[in-house]
Amino acid sequence: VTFTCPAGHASQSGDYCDLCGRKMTAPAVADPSAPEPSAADTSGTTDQALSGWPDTLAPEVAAGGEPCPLCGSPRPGTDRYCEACGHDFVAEAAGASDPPASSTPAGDPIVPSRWEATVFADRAHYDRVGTKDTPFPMHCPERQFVIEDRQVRIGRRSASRGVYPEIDLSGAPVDTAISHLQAVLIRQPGGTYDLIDPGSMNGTTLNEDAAPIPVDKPVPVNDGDQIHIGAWTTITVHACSRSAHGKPATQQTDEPVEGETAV
Amino acid sequence: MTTFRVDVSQNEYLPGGGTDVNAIVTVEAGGGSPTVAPEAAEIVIIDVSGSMGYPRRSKIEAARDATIKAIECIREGVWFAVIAGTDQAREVYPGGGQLVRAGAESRAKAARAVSRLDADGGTAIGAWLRLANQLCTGQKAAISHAILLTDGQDEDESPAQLDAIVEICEGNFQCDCRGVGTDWEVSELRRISSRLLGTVDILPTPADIPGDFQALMQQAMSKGTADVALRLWTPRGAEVELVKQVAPVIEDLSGKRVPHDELTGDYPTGAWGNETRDYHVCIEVSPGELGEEMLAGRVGLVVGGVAEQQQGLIRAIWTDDVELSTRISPEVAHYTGQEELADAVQEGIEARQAGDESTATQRLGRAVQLAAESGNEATLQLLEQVVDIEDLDTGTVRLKSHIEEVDEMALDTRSTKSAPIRKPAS
Repeated sequence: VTFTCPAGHASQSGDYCDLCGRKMTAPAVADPSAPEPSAADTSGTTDQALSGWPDTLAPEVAAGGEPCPLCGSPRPGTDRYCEACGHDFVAEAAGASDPPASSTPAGDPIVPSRWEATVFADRAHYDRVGTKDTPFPMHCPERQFVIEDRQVRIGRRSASRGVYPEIDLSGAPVDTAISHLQAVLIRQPGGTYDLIDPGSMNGTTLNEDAAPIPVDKPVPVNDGDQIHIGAWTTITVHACSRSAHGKPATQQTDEPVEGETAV
Repeated sequence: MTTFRVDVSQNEYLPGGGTDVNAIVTVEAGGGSPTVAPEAAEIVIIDVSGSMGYPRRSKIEAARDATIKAIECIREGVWFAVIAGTDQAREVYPGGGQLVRAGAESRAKAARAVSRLDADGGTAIGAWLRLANQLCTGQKAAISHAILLTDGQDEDESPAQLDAIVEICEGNFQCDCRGVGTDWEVSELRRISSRLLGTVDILPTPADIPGDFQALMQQAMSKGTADVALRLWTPRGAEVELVKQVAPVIEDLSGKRVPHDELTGDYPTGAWGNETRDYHVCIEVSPGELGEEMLAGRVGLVVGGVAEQQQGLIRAIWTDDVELSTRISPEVAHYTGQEELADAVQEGIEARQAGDESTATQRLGRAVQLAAESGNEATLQLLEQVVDIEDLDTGTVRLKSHIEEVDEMALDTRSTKSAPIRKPAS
């Protein structure tokens, strides 16, 4: 038996979604001034009959469902997003890049702007770096990511290090000069983003600057800015005026390549 | 068979935009019996370096006596061995790279071998641990435990060498460390005992060794369930800020996390008897809408690699009702205070040793205030040996003009012992 949570994830637990933690049924506390009986009791509850360790049933879920057109992972039930790469099945079915309004969770705020990132193989950046250790990729399709979380990490997924960046560049062709955790975009009060390099191996440069941005120091990014990382990867950030629903469409095609190449 | 019960105490209400969810997780183990315990191995490691012979052979004699008493406490059939440590490690009994089952004959032979031990040589704690590790991994008993006694600091190995050996031992056996006298290093033994899921304590005089060894061995014998870990699930996007054992002793487990899958991690807690331990868990979640409820964490136990079904739930509900969101869980408040108390003591001692008397006075004063507030009488008594208290409530203290080293070390080693929460009078 699987349950579907308000965000559309398939869950083996019936009490709370075992992916995002949302409560499964009924409005939780619609009126906070009149809390339900258990609310007065600050010592929490246990023994949820419907609960279970998420992993115990995982293989059943993984078994069914259409394959994701991007990464090939089976779609868990009627889950809206691919669990492996975040691909939006609903938007694809509707044939639009914008998710249909009906699928917008109730109360989803319309924010004035959101940000997008376009990742591409940048010959000019490659030539500036001037490395011979990493070849420039023969073919590299542009990758698009939505930037809307409070914190958006840029890097290459590594299970062994426990790094799962939102902008995951571990798919082929892979730029191994990108650190597993290369940089982080942090949302600012005005809806803009600051860029931080937490100490990547090869540094992060912005626009035409030859010198990498200082480690651990937030640098504001503007519409149209180009973030150069690794041996040949450039990320262009755009501010776009649109509603905030949707989900970062991360891409990954291959297993991540461990290790980093110095350039 | 041992059964575990997990309970969560928290205030699940967060103000709008709130992200930090704090909870105290109480784990109670009951119904276990040592008679049906899995195979166990016990190793006694005693320091026989030259300094153990001074003054007047008192320490080596007490250590021999203590080891024999500890062996007497080992349950029939449990595997055991005795290691003597100097600048190298030597198998005192039974030898041959093996352990032996406890019985009348093996105990008597071990006692004879131990009584012949003499003090001579250096101190290489890493070498002692390496030998204990070899013996334990060779035996593969479900529960492996060691008691380590020293009177000095590691002289023959660098801290990095010692750390590397401790890392190899991690997960293979648990180790309680004891320092006799005042010539050993608290931080050194604490690093070992922390990583090997044991305790550290000071034995001020040689006469304290036998009683402590007996108590340690009896406690080890009461552990009937091997290889227990705390399992914590958190939702996608959440960060585990802290997992800390807060009772009976404060021990940060955050760095011990072993990933189980993308959202779940295990924190090893070693072997359990019938006992209760409390954990402070802090999880940072993405803020939800007002009125929204989410699960910030699921906590359960994994015993010998098998997950127990019963779980505790750590919840988050966002509300604009200030009365709900500002309520403080008494359990979280109490143990947060105990954590701060332990930190204040250790920072105070560090500052005093560095010659910074004003910071030392301020931190130890805060410790006095926290110990008094929370009813931690044991720590308060230890603090009184180091500072003169002018005002308990405001934490106004003066450093004593002369502080005995043994008092300061006792305060340092025992600062992590938390007071149990006082249940409201009913």
